[in-house]
Amino acid sequence: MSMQKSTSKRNIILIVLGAVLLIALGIAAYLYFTPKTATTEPDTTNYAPPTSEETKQGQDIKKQIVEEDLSKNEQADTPKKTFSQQITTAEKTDGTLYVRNEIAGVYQSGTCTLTLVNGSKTVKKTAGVQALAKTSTCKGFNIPVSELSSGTWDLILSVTINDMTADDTAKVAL
Amino acid sequence: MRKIAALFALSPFLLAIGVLWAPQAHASTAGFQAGDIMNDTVMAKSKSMTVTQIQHFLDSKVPTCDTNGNQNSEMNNSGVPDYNGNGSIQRWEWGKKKYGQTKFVCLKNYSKNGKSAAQIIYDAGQTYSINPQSLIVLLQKEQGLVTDTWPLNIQYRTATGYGCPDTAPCDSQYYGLTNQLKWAAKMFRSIMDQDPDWYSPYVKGTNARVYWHPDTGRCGYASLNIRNWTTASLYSYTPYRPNQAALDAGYGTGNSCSSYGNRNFYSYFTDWFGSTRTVLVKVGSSPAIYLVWGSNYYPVPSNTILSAYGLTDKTVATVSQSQLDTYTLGPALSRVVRFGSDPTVFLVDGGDIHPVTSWGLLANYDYNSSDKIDFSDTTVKDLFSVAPTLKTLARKSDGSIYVADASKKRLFPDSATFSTLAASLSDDGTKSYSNLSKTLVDSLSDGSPVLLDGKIVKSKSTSTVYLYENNSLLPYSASEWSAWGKKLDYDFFSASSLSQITPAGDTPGYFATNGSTNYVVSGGKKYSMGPTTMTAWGMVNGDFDTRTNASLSRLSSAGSIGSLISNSSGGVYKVLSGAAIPYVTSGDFTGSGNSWSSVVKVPNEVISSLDSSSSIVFKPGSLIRQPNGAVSLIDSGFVRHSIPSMEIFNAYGFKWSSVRNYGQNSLDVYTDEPLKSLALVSGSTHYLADSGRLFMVSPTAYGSSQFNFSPSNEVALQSSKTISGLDKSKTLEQFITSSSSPIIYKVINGQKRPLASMASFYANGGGTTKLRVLSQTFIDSLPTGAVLN
Repeated sequence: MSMQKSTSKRNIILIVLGAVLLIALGIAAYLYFTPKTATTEPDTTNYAPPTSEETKQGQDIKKQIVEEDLSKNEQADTPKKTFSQQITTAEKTDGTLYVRNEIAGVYQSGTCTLTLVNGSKTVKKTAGVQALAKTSTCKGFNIPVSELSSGTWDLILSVTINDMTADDTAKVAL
Repeated sequence: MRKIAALFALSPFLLAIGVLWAPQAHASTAGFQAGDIMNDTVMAKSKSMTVTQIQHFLDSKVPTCDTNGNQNSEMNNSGVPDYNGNGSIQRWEWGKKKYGQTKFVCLKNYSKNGKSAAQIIYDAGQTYSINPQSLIVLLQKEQGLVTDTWPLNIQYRTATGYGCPDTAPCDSQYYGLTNQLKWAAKMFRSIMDQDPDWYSPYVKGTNARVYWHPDTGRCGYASLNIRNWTTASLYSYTPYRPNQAALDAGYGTGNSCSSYGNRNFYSYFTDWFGSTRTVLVKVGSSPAIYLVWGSNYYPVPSNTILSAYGLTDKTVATVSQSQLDTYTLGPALSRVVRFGSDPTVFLVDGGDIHPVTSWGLLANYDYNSSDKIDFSDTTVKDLFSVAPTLKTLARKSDGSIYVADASKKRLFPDSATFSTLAASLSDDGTKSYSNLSKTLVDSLSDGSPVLLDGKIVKSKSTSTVYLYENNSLLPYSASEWSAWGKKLDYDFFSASSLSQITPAGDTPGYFATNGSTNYVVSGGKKYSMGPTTMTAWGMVNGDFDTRTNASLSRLSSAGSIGSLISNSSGGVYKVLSGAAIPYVTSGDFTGSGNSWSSVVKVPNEVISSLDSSSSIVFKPGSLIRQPNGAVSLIDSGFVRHSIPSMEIFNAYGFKWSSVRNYGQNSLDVYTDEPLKSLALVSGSTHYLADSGRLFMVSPTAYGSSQFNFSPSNEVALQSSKTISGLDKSKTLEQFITSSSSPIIYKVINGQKRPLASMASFYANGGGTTKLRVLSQTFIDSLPTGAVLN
């Protein structure tokens, strides 16, 4: 009777030790296969599988891309007749008046004309158009404030691309 | 065997337990700053990941790639034929219909010209010094490529969305994964470097119009200060700012004016790689650390300040001086701050900012207006959590609570003290406290602890125990502390903190009063002393030290104290007229009618405070002989009856063997009333002492009709104990005789009248039981009357 009891007890000990060993192997495997960063900083990268929210967002993005792609393909042969642009920056900083805009559409060329009016004074600047990732912008305008007198200036930015023109206005106080 | 087999069956799960014990990063849009989506340091971190790490990351995000598109399509399947007729539309069926594509290559498996996607991403990062993690996030937020288990070829064609306007076809010159990543990285780098040949709609440091949604007319814009070139480049890439509805939705859908590009960039980067803003930098090998925020950098003067700003867990990036110089130097960080034009002053602690209501309150924490710095960039406030208004009551994380008072910290030693006194000591009359760091609170020197009256304390480094009351410390002597029950409430104060409490010029003492009741303190108890006892002790009210009720409540009530006390070695005393008169034997004590329960043990110092006396308390009935030979019979009430002669001694029947010898002064306290043969005991019973016994004298015998005794010839004995043990078996009768004469007398009207004969004896009422044999001396003292026949 006592020999059977000791054998059973030994098996239980072996099983527990085996379980602990396997868990430890799992941890060791994770640590081994988790790559270390090249720097001495702690690696904060999340190597876990994506969460359901992350995955769903990715699927939603894909759906939208596909919809846009399919709808754009239908428009592919229809030339654009209009475009829009907005002044995004009109501010004086460190002695320079920065005027920037954003043009809807990706264009490699075009003409931007910035007209600044303050009473009887008028200053005109021109620049080309630069393509960005999804929009375009005028290549300018950094105007030294010394070229302009103090007061409130009316800005008219006119962009011409492929015989299309779009204007936007702003005011800036100097 | 079966159990071992079961273990092996479970082994994959056990291994999984270990593997899944991995850090999980979970973030939302918390911390999103529209004007500072990502700072230049993070965007420029081109060495953030190796190719292997990028590959491992891509592998982790697509555990299983649906290469053959066998899973059901989650797309809009309208118009897609069920080619295989299985009743559902699989992905390959959808792909075939829409794009003629039935096989799908996941990003982790992508390869072009022998280069994996991981390599392509890495190379673009190195070429343009752009963080590959930013490029990975760009692939996800533009095309969902990182998590997509069945990517379409068109997704790789415009992988980063470069050259794809919102409402027009994409520009094919930018097609292809490699091209897309190159142009994206190039654009970021060009804007960050302010390449003179590259313009962006946004300029660092200016307030730009940033629109919420492509429907600019309907949704409008907000003015936004662009704080760095990276953020300028991100808005140049995706020109819309997420509104609050988009931010509140996490990865979900906001409202009709919500845009998600920059939100998703921020969220994916934060969830996958950590903070988009490295706030701490150092230059080269210099140890100086700076906080970089917005367009400014601020020197961090110490680790204490680093901790106060909640930045100790932030990594410190190493930058070049030229990189640092692109920021504007701000003030060295301090705990006392203001933001912009907001007049509110805050105290910084543990990543929190506590609004301060007044400089006076702040002075309690040893800070003043000269410690204040002003952040012109109000967004620095986003570094902190706004805590409630600063209080003078401060709680450390270990639960201890202090009141900050004139640059010192005063500890509340327990919750009862806090509950009782906190409101009276706080700045606002409430018990509200600020949760502050150990560092801040411990920076204040120790002030005096906050104590309730009646608490008994000592410092941890000295041995003196004190009673605290009325803002003073009363030091106990060892004996006083013992008398007060050796209680100790707190023994952990520093000596320096206790030393700030005014020492009283008094000790707790043994005699205490609350103004209405006087007490003797002994053995942890208080014994009330009434007026009678005070007289016996020779004490007046002024002899008692006034103690607060709180102090007196530390003593248990033990009833009253009388005039019986004992010292530490068991000696018992009777207190009389301010003197402690000892009992020398237990027999004297009990024989005096005392109960041991009436004795109060008092400290020896109490007994020492009484006058010492050479007298001794003897029990009534004691016969005490002094060295001068005088013998006295002890009565109660400190009365003695000196025995004037042997005749009286013998008349009472005293035994010499009962006589005890003591010092000459042992009876000093006694009042002497010389013993007489006639005695009135206890005010009620007359006795005649004669011939060694006491004859009880009835009122009739005493009266004029018989012996006609006079009170002037009588001694008053206070206590019957005085004559206990003496023979009182007989009463005095009218018929008397002596042993030396045969004459029998009948005492009538104070005269002894001889009886002529025995017949006369009997004829006049005599009998054998009525005849008393007295001393001839007594008989001779009676006048003789006529013979009775």
